[in-house]
Amino acid sequence: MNKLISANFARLFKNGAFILYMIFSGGLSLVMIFMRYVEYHKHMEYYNNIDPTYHTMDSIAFIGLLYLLFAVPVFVGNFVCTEYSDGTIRNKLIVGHKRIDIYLANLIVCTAGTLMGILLHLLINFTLGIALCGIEELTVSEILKLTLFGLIAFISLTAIMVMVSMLVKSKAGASVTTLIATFIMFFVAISLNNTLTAPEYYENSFNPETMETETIKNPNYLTGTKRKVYQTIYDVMPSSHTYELAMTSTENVGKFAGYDGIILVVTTALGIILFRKKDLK
Amino acid sequence: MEYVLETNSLCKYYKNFKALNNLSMHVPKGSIYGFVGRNGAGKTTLIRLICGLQKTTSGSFEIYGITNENPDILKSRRRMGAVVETPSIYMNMTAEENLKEQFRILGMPSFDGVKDLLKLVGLENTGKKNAKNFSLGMRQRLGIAVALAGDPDFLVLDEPVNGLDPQGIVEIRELILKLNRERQITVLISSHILDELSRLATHYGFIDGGHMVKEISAVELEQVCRKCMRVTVSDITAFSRVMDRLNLEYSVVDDRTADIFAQINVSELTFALRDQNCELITVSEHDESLESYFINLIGGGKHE
Repeated sequence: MNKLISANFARLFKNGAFILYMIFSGGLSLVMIFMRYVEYHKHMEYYNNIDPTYHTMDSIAFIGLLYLLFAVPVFVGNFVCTEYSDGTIRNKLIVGHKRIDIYLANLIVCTAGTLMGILLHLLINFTLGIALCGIEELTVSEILKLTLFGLIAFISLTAIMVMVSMLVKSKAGASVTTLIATFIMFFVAISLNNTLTAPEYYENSFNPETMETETIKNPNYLTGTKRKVYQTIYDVMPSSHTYELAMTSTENVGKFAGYDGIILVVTTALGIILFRKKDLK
Repeated sequence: MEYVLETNSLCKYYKNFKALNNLSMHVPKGSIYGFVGRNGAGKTTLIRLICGLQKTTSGSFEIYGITNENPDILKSRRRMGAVVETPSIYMNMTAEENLKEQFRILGMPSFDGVKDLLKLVGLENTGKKNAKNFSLGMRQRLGIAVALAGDPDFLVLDEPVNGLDPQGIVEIRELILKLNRERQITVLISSHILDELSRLATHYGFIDGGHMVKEISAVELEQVCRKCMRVTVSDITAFSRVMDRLNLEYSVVDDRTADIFAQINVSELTFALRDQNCELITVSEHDESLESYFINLIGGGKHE
């Protein structure tokens, strides 16, 4: 498998989609930092009144990962499916490489590629970003914890993308399928998050007779099994993990990382089983 | 005879369609084996199976004596190179980068052989031009170079001259002959361009409907296809007696027809047959090409 990994890495650095992904990752950091810097200095007084930490990196340190969530499927789909569109996957099989090795080599190199983009993005955020904008609330241990969690979340996301790409076989098909799936997962995550974090009672009804604020029960508040099901779906989806990460929430990172591990194992096992059975042309 | 590839009752079904139906073939070591069949006959399916791209439905095949059920088949595949349908090359890489990539896949310790391979296939001057800008012939030659990267003993080429211009066809033909003669590489070529195959092949396998109709060497085929006199007689046994007595080379086609491979005096033959109470009904000159042999073999009528 080392031969395949070495060959894939050599190809990775020449892959146009990977180069664009890296430029996007780094460029996104630069744009976000400079926009925040310029915006804050333009309206300094206003922002100091509404949010004293607005000018720092605290709120934007991990938010760029939400954008990278949509860049990864394009890169992975292009990298993996080039093997099908150019027919070069045959060269690997004909000379006697096992299908499991071909699958795992693609997974390893795509994961490495994805993580390079994430690390580049975070590296710029935590060097240039801190130098220009500073940081106030996030501690070093929280940054490390969130970075580690971010890497794990993107590993599981890459595993899903590799599985789809290896089975769909079409460059455009794989990218479109994974992008649509990512969009759906992302909006489901936001919707579930809104539903799950909605309060049980609203306290916005003022009764002039009693001169007291009344609490009204939220009719959409989830309880019992339904809440558990919604919570589990939210916890499992990698898009939720990226969303939590963007919000710099460190509360459930352990649980989320566990689910990411399960996604990685399940999608890889399923992908290998189906790829081994697949007839190639 | 030592065989590089043998298949035994090989079957491959796609749902209810039988792409290969009990196919048995034998590719002798050192040969250029022309695998002949019309479109959809099962040529590419067989190549996909032996290259490990698809799994057999039933039956088996052996590469260098290792059966496909044996895990060591992966090792014997390392002695193989193949170009299946279209050349398997990265379009956004140069010829040299493509070969280096294949060297990495093979785990070669250095890129020493890359220049020689490019020279062998005539692509040494392509420089930084990406494969996507190559002509079809150049891509085909690069595909063959990639297949040769592991220094294989057995080369499988699926329709290597399809879509090439006359110059490209000549180049590929010369390359195949060079590889076979100078490097002793056994070559399996699938094609339906019979004229081209007849200039290369030392052995033929004719496939139709996923089934091997006939395997024959080029020497045997030449014997069958050479010029002869085709005669129709009333008694083929009496005809055979006369031919044996006259010491003439002949072959019996059916119970009324035979081919005579010699210059004959028709009058003498007529009298000799008459002595045996056998009538000479028709005599005609017969000259079979590979094309007509193939059409006769698979029953041309049913494909009209």
